[in-house]
Amino acid sequence: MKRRDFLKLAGITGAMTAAGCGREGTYHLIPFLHPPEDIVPGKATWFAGTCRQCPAGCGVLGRNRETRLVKLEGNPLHPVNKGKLCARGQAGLQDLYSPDRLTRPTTGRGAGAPVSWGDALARLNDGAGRAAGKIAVLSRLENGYAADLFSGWLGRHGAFADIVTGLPAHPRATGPLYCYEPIHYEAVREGHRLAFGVDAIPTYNLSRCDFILSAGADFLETWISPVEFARQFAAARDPKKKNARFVYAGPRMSLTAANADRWVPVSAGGEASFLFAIVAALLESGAVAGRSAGEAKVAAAPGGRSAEQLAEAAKVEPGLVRSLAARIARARRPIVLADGSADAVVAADLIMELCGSAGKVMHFGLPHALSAAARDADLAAFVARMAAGEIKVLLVHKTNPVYSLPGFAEALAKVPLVVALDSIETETTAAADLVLPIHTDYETWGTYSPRPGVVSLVQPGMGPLGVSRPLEAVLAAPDAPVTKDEAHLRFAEYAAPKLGLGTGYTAELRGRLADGVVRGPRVAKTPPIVTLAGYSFAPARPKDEIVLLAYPQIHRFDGRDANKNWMMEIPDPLTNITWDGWVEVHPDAAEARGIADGDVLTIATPHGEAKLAAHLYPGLAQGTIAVPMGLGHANYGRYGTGVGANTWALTRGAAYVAATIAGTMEKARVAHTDGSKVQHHREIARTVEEGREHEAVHGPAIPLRIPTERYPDPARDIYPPHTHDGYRWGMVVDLDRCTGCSACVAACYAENNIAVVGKERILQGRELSWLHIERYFDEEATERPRVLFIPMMCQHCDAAPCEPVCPVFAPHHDREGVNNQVYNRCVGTRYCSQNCPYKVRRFNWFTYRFEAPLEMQLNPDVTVRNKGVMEKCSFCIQRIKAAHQVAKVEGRTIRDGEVVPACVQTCPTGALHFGSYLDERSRIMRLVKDEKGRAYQVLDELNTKPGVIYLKKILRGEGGHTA
Amino acid sequence: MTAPSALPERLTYERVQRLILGNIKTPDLSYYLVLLFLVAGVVMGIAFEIRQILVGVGVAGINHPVGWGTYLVNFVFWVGIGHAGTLISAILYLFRAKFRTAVARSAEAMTVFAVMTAGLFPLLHMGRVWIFYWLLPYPNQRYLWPNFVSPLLFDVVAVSTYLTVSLMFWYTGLIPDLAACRDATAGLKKKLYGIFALGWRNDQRNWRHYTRAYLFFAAMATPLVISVHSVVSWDFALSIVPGWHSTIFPPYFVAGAIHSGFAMVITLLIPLRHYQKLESIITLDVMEKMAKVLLLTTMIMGYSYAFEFVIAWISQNPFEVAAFRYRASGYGTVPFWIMVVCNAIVPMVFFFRNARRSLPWLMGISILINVGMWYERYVIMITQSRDFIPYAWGDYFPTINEAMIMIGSFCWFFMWFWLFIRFLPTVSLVEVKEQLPAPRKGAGHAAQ
Repeated sequence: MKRRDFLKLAGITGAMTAAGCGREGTYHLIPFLHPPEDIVPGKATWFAGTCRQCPAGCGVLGRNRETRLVKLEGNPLHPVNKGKLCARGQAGLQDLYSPDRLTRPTTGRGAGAPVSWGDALARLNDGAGRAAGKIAVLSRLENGYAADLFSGWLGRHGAFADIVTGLPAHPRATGPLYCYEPIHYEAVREGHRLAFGVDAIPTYNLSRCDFILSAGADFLETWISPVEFARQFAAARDPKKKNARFVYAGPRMSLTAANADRWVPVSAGGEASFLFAIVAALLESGAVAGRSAGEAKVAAAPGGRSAEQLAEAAKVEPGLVRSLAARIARARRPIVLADGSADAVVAADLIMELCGSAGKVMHFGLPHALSAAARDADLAAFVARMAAGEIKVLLVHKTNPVYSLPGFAEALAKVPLVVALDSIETETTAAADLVLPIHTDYETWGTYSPRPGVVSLVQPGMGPLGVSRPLEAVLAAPDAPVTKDEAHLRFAEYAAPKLGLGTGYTAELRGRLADGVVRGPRVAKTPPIVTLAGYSFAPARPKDEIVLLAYPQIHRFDGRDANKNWMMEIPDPLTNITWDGWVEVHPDAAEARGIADGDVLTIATPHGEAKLAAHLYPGLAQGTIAVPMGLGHANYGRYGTGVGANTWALTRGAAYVAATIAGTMEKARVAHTDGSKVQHHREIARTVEEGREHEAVHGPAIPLRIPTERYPDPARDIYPPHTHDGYRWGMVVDLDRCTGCSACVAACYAENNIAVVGKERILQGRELSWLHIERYFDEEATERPRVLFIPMMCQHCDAAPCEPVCPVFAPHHDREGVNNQVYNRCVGTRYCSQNCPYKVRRFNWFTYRFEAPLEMQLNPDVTVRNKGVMEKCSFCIQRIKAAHQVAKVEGRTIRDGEVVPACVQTCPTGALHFGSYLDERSRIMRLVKDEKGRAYQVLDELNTKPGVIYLKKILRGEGGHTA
Repeated sequence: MTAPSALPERLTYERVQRLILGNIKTPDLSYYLVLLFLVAGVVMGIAFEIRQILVGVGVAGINHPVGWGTYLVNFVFWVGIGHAGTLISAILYLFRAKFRTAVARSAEAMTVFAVMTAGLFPLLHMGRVWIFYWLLPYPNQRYLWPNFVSPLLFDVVAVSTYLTVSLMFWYTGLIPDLAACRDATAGLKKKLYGIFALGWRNDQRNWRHYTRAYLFFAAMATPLVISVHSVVSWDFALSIVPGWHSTIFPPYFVAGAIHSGFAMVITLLIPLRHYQKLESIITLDVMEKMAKVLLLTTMIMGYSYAFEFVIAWISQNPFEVAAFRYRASGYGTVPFWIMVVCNAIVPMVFFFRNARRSLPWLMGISILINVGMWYERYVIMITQSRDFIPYAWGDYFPTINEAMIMIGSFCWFFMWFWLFIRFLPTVSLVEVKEQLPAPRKGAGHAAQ
């Protein structure tokens, strides 16, 4: 070889090597050439906002890292949720980062043709201008900025716009702005109107009640303001305070009912009779005589029927009704919540009235925002107007009536110009003539008042993600356009004076924006006064046929969350079914009809038909079948489309409809996460009978092992205990407070970049959730099934079985007692998972994809795992490390309560506690010491010395008797 | 070299020489077709393993809670197969059991190939096989050592030791025979056999070293028969999983290994003696003796299966009791009863002399034992599907990917064995001749 050739070859080789080893492209931590100065890499900025996943209007804080919103947490200053958030609230981020976000304005029904923003707005303004006032807006419930923007737009185009923003709530029934909520609790409003003459949803307060009776009101799941109620419920149930009893009556044992001391099965439609039987029993017994001023009025309400007759009408034992009535009469402050029919709500109100607690537990001074939602009759009238061609231009804003309002789709054909204002693809956007992508609630400005006196501020947590525009830009007059940089100024012009904060973008306004909420002056409580104008109850004859109950499912509510893969993946707390629809059938009924779990049934109602897989569920009253709401979408993104059945089409919004079921020859493969419905007497989730919770030990005497060196037990250990550096992190889970709502699971997905695996892989047993809410039914099938929930995450054992078996030390026990999984070191033998008795280690069978732009939600503090690696709960080690840094800079130790893992942070009932066992005065140590009789460790006989200590659920009698 | 000899009288040095070396010849088309089939099977297995590496271990049916599945079933199965070879060649050698002479070479070859197959599976099952070498204690910049407490590391040590020792033992025994091959062939073959014969000259010193070394290796391999499968059993016994965490596992595994290994030897030798016309060397007497060993292990297995239940019952540990209840009557019913019937009941037929001396019976039952022993490990593996936490229970079904890799592993094993019977003497010339009366002077004292 010549020297020249050698040099050539060497050069080529060198160049190839250099090229081959280079990184693929350039990555920027901060997607700006010149970042704004407040963005510090690695440092989060928090923006207050408002959760609009349901009308409850909880306050949120969005964690912004390097310009991306990566986590939502409850806003501690917000009066509704006080720092907590439910699973759907956590999943709000998936609206923002939905892979099905609208990417451009389109025109034409169906797939739609792309159109420029200029043309789209011209078409909107042109159409509105020529409609001669025959215009209308159908929006989700709005009562602040957005409502006023619509009012302004309607007014500008000549519609009758009598809408004046503000408080108190304005009836929006007659249009042209309709606030449409698929679930608008009309029965509750109507019931209160009949009983107390106020057509509104009152402010309830459960926290100081000592007895709770709910008839069909699932207040721990979706009902009106679930996070608020869950918090109040937990406060009322605190054994050291009111230690309230809770009885639930209804056709289905919902999650709320599963948390009751007793679930009374009442056939669908029988709730009113049941509650009136209690009213009659209270009147008959005279136990509450003289407590209510309106007693005389109430006496006429049962229509002269006796408690016995009414109990019979409800198909409930009269003895049970009487004992329940006696128990309620003994209570100092009972609350009765009802839904389903106006009569039931009337009866509920009357029970409270008779007991003299109505004025203490509810008031109408601050009617809930939902009180302003359009009623069924208003909606029917509106649809009729549409069908009659009286509407020329219709704006549909962030709601999906084509899915949830039967008849709406047909009426749409008569509207010449339907404009959908939304951020995601829905059935309604597919049916619109013009689709205008607008900002999500985390990119835009606004206000929302969950109730008078509370203005919750909506503000962008980050810059807009795509081509969407703010509402004010879309609705702006052509001669006064609003650019995207002016949106905040427009909002400030609007909001500052309204909130009494000066004019413009003032420092006061900025301060309030940091808080996220503006509280109005205290409003005098308006105690309810019983009116009952000519009301008399007539019990409906319970039918013998099968009744279909469509219930709002906790993760998908009325259907709006079905396009979020977290909400599809996280199992339903009671059935543990994921990614699927189902129909619940009582095991006895199923046996009689030869139906097995997973059989596909055809369900026919007068309104429609659907095919669903049967799920045998013991928590159903006789003759009831139940279907969760929220599925059966025809066009709702990649996750929500084509799964399950649309209950709105089956029931047309009615609480119950008569139905028939017929078997098909098909068998469905329903994905579920539970390996067993019962715990086989293994005492995973333990209970303690009331009154015995302070006895030292019951049952097999395995003493608690606090996993620190201060509590060694040489009799049980061969090896000396671990020594710790300053902290021994651990968790205490109060099973008495856990309702099974799964908010913690959603928070964990969001915080820890947990991949969503989908139906097929869950069928194979490969879900990745680090935190499971294990659900166990009673061992033996009984009339009154009892359900126990136990959150199961890595137990961070002191003698962790996973640690010695790994050949490469990937599970690593750190000096603060945390069992770390070192992803980089893991070679994937899975022995740790095999040897983990709690089965909380999760393996990455594949490299899972986060569909763009969902990957923008990933927490930059947490590694995204690849295939072949084991993962598990880390106690949010990133948060522990962050606390360490702060403490180190400030030259102190970490304070108790400073480290808050994502699950603990969001738990609405405060069932989870985190801290150090080495600090004898820490919250968890105090709980363990105070609750000696309740504290236990799961599988304590294995002596793994878990760092998670559970407090047994207290089995309360309903007071005096447990029958 | 004295009576009693297990071999028929009529064999002579010359006839033995012809019989055994006669099989090392240019093969016919059918040989190549079989070889092609086996290689194709191996390639297919590799293809599916590549798929698994590219897509993820999830292409197998393993899940939570059953995380190992057929990969570890096959690992234990093949390690077990290996044990009979070492038992025959080492322990029976030390015990001077003459019947081993006819089968020791093949059995030892089987051991080497079985361990070569077994060693693949711990790699195959790993989530990140490309960093398998992290399990090896090698010096590195990060000062990271493997965890010597982990049973999986015991495995690495045990299996690699076992492979090394068996290979050395087998090769040592082969040296005089390789020299015989060298002397019987010409050209390139002669050269290659010569290299591997390590310059064997058949002199006094060679023989002294050879016999001492062989004895030494036999002594060294003997404890491995017990230790390796005991160590393999610790993968399970040292865990805390109900149904695994049991002191019975090491002896139970060793007995099972011998059971499956002897069955595999019979399965291999019956076709082999026919194919290579070795009926006069691998006689029915030899077969019968192996059937007797099987009868012994059958009873040990039956006892172990029964005693596991007794242990669970005595312990009154609810998890343990439940694990065995599910095994016998729950989710594991079919594999469990396949295991019991094939391993502990059917081989009882060998109480009858006629069955022990009948080739169809021997062949049929040995195959059933192979199946049964595979299922034994399967039963152990799916014990996981019902462990401590009922919520986490789940069923496991193997997938095509696992089946194909398993078939590939069988092809891999048989490919080596197929090559072995073509290129190496399948019966030890030296040892057979040792048992023959020395030929009279001038009657043709060939190579040995």
